[in-house]
Amino acid sequence: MSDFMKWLLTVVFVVLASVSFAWTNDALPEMLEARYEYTVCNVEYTDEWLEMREDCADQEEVPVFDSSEYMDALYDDLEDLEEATEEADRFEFGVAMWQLGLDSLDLLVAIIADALTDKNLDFFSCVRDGEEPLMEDRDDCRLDAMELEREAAKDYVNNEIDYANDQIEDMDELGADTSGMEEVVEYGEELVDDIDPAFDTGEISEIRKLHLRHSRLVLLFRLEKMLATIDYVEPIIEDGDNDNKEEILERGDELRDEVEEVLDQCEYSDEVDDNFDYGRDNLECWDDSIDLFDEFIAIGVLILEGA
Amino acid sequence: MNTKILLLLLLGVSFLFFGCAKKAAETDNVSETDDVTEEEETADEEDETTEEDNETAEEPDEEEEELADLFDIDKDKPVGDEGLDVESPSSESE
Repeated sequence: MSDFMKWLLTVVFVVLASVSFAWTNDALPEMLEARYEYTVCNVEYTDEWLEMREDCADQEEVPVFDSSEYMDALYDDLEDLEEATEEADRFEFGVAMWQLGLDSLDLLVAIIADALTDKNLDFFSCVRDGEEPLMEDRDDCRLDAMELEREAAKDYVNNEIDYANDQIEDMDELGADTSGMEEVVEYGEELVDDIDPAFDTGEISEIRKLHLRHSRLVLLFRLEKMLATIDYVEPIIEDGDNDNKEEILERGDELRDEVEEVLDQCEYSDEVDDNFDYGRDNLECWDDSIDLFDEFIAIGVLILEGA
Repeated sequence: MNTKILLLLLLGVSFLFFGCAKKAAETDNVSETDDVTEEEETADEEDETTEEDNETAEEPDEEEEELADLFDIDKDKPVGDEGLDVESPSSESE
């Protein structure tokens, strides 16, 4: 192959690699919509709670901080979230939600600081009484949003399972060992069965557990797929005459070891004892895997260049 | 009247003159082009033969292209629990 042809194919491959796995889950808009609605419940409750608190401050003649800037920030974040939801933009949704989390934290810190300033027991008592009906309304609002998310979650995970099974079928046809991928899909099917029971509890912590397990399974499937691909391709490259044969085999071997290490460290558990710990482990597992994804794609480019 | 006829005659002769000159130039170019074309055709034929040979040698290995296609992976995270862990204020915050 001429150098120009190789260069052209490499560019095409890299571009396609970056967009072709733009498989999008058809249930993504539903998921984002449900989560947006849940967040609206929280922001509106926060606004009403602050207003109630200011009324209590007036009543008890104590000073209270001006929370308008904090609420403006939250409503701006909500607007960004709404836009991302309408566009089904997963990335922008995550960015807006992250910002909203930061601004919510800022507000909480301001509330705590204000609580320590010239308040009396009657004020706190007034706030405790005033927040009860607001919390009931918020919880009802959240339950409605969670019902949306329940159905969206089932669709979302089932779509992923269907897609995963398609990939397994494709690799089976080639003769690759897909046992690792199949095991992850089985865990995914168990996860679907656990969706209704978790949502029936009405406990956000239980729903978070589902998400944490889901995130781990998605990662593990991709790692297993990489392993299956490397194992399948290796003997073919060994017997072939690709110009980059040596390098492909060496890097493929190293990548296999690294993938197996992460698979070992990030072994799946359907028991989530502590949401924070499981979430932290998920973050580490994903962080450790990003470089492996890039190396996997790079090996594909090597094969193409040496073809 | 005579002036007009004279002018018309002059214009007609001018066009005739320039037309002949142009045609003469084109005829010369065609001759030269023909020579060049013949040379080019011979060279092209030789090139075609070489290209055909090269194409056979340069034809990408389809099997290896298919192998390369397998090295494709999604790097994006799925929708998670973002937003579910955002705390709302309450009297317990105070």
